[in-house]
Amino acid sequence: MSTVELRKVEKRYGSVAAVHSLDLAIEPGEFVTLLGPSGCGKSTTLRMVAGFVQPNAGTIEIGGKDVTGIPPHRREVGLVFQNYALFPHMSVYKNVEFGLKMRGVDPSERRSRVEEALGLVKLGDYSERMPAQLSGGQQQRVALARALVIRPNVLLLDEPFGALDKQLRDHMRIELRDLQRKLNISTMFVTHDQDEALSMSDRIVVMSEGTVCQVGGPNAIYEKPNSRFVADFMGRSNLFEARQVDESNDARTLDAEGLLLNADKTQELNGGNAIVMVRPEKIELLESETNRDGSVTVGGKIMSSVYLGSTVQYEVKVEDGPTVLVVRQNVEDGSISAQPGSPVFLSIPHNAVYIIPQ
Amino acid sequence: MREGYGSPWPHRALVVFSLLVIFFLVAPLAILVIQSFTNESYLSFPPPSFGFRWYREVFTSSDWRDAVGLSVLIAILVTPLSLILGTLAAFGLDRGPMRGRQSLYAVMISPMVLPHIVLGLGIFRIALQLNIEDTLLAFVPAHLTITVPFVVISVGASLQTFNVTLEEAAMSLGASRWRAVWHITLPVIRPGLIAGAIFSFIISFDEFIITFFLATYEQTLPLEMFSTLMFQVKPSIAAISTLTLAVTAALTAMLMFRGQILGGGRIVK
Amino acid sequence: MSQTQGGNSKAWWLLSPGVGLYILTFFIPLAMLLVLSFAKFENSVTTIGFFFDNYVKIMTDGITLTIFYRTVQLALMITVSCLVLGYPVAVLMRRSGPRARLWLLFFIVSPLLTSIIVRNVAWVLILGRSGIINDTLIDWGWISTPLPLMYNTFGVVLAVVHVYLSFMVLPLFGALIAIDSSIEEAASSLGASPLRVFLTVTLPLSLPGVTAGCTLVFILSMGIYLTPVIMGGNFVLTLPMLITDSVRNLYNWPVASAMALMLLAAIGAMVLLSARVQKMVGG
Ligand SMILES: Nc1ncnc2c1ncn2[C@@H]1O[C@H](COP(=O)(O)OP(=O)(O)OP(=O)(O)O)[C@@H](O)[C@H]1O
Ligand SMILES: [Mg+2]
Repeated sequence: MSTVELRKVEKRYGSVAAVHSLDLAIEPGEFVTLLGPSGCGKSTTLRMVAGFVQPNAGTIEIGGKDVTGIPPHRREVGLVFQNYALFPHMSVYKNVEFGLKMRGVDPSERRSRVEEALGLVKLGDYSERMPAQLSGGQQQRVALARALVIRPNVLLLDEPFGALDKQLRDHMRIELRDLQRKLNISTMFVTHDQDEALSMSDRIVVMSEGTVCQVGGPNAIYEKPNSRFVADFMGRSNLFEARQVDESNDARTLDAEGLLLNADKTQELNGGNAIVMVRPEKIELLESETNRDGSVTVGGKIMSSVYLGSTVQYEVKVEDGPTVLVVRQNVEDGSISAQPGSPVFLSIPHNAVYIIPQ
Repeated sequence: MREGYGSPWPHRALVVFSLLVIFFLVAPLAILVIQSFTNESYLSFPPPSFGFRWYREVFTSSDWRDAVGLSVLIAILVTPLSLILGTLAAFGLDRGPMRGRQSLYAVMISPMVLPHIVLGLGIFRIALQLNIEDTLLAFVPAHLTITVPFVVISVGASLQTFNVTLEEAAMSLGASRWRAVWHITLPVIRPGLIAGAIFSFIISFDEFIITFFLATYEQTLPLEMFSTLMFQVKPSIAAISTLTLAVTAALTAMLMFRGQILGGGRIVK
Repeated sequence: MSQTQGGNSKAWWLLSPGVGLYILTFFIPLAMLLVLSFAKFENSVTTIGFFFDNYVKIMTDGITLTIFYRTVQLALMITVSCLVLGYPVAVLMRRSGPRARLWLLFFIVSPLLTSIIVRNVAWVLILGRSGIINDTLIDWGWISTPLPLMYNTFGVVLAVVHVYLSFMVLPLFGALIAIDSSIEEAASSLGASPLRVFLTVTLPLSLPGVTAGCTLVFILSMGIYLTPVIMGGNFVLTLPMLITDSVRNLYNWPVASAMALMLLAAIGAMVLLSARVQKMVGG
């Protein structure tokens, strides 16, 4: 039995569908991330699970119980907001205790559970502080403790780290994930940051304009996007329109806007045309033409290079072909002369060429 | 303080002028307070001798006592009612659809823009029709009409800065809408509620013209002061004025120094 | 925030107690005044109907119109006085540090909440025939008969300004504080003297506040009853005094209602005018 199950859920605002016929199930202990551009309906979906938004159609089940018409306070969900939403007039302790009070848990049990929850987020010493006296990261941890202490069926987080700076965000990711694994709590996480989604999730749900585009593990979503939209949204990619020009036993040769590529034959090609994706970090940059097994090598000219610290990003114009984005780890000590205008060779492995299913 | 903006001389002139204006605002009241402690049977400044003679007179006179009693009674009835009506309306405006919010807000504060003389005339008319003039049934609703807009404004301003996700957080933690409002929203917007209550009390306590129309035999404190003043200027009027001033000043100070005027004191930060 | 505030129309029901009150104490009474203003009043008998007698009367009796003009004049004098006294204070408030600003605000706002009648009493004690000023001057032998400081326009304007100054300063301060001081700094960095910065930048940008404050004070001043009675005796008459007299002493509701509507019309005209000016000065 899934912890959360949405069936054919629909939410319209006026004539626009914020969420359209959405099916989604979260298994016990699973960490599922809703990912998509702004306005695609992530928050709306989460808020329907929490009970703040009523769907126009479809059903929502939590813990095997149909909760579609049930108000938020009887849904047993733990909710964490981007702005923390700590009660400013209550101490950390009172904040965490609130949910237990509303449930009529008796005082002695309340105390031990609040202390346990604060211990989990490493804030045991801060229980008498007021929210305004805490840093952003500490506030978010209180919010987490407050949501967890009621032992909800599912933990819902809407861009919980959006207000934190980058370093803290990276740290909180790890902490949240560890905690989630330890408590084995089903979690629905909303973000529009792909790094966050890739690094934390068991499964990612990529959404666009109110519908689900693809559901899968981080690896599958990144390596094998099922549409141009997903490929484009999940990090940088080279996307070419391609058509097959030759075929051998184990490879297809594709003409990608003038660039000849080989792709593994295991990939289906419906009809003669396709869109192919090559991730820029999988392309090798060579100073001289070197033919390697399982790769194609083409010549080109560096148009621009952008220094990004740990990586360097190049735009290479292929002779009689497209401009290709290449990202290299910044490890070679200047072995490639990166001056715009200098000639280079690109080595593209066959298995880096991915044909997006139509 | 802005540096490099204005040389010291114009600035000094500005300070002096402003201090004179403040002197103009404060001095008459200070003089009134001092004169109220005279021991003579007439008013003069400075009084030749000081004492509480006129305060005793005020406290023992049944006219003054009755007037104060009625004014306090009305204000005590008006304040909670005003707070309830105004807060309900402010919540309605805050939570209702965007569309029409502006016009309904305008309706809720409309009695403010009407001169009280016209409002008083109208209310007097309907009170005569219903035969309730000169009773609490007329005084209380009449005062509410001018106090409710202030509550709508002060509570409305607090609600505008209130983050609704707090209420949602409470609901996700198991509080019903009503309990979330009670435990979270109302405590957080308390400054707005206090401001609304203080405004209501003071406005009702000081109200003159509408009550002037409605009252014939009953006398509120402002009416009693007015008729005394028309008759003769005695030190007792200075004493009662000082008492009124003390009450309103205390309430105003509470309002100001908790920084609740002008939108939670953000302007003075 | 906008998501939940997008609105539940059931929330409108929360307005119903307030609206219910207003219907009884505000909308119906106003409608009654409107109806009454077209009624006929003859031999102390009011006949409801659609007559223009009252309006004709107040326009032609020579007294009402004169007093109306006097009221407008008085309101203008009060407004201008408030502006002259209030603007420098608002400028200083803007320039002050937080503590000084809070104190200034306290002195400006607290009169808002002090009984009008108490403050009028204070002025009577100062300006009256045997008030402080006259007493002192006679004591010193500078004058032999009391100066007429009260029971005239001067006394009324002074006492009303004392009451309404706050209503001028607050919008002025609001407009001034909203001006981005970097604009002024830019002007002075371009070589403008402080006076020129004030005249060409600060003053024009504060005009919306000036308009708002003047409108507010003018409207309030049109409705004054208490202060002219106390400070003006029967020497300064205002339209509100006439209205009160018509009802309380003459029982002539129709004429009083017509005058009340005349007052409302004048205020309405002022509001429209102010809206136009506000548009022109970019508020
Ligand atoms: N209360 C509302 N009234 C009208 N339209 C709404 C409302 N709430 C959301 N929408 C619309 O529904 C769509 C989905 O909104 P939603 O907040 O779910 O997006 P999101 O994916 O969470 O975006 P973001 O990343 O910006 O938070 C948007 O087009 C939004 O404008
Ligand atoms: Mg969102």
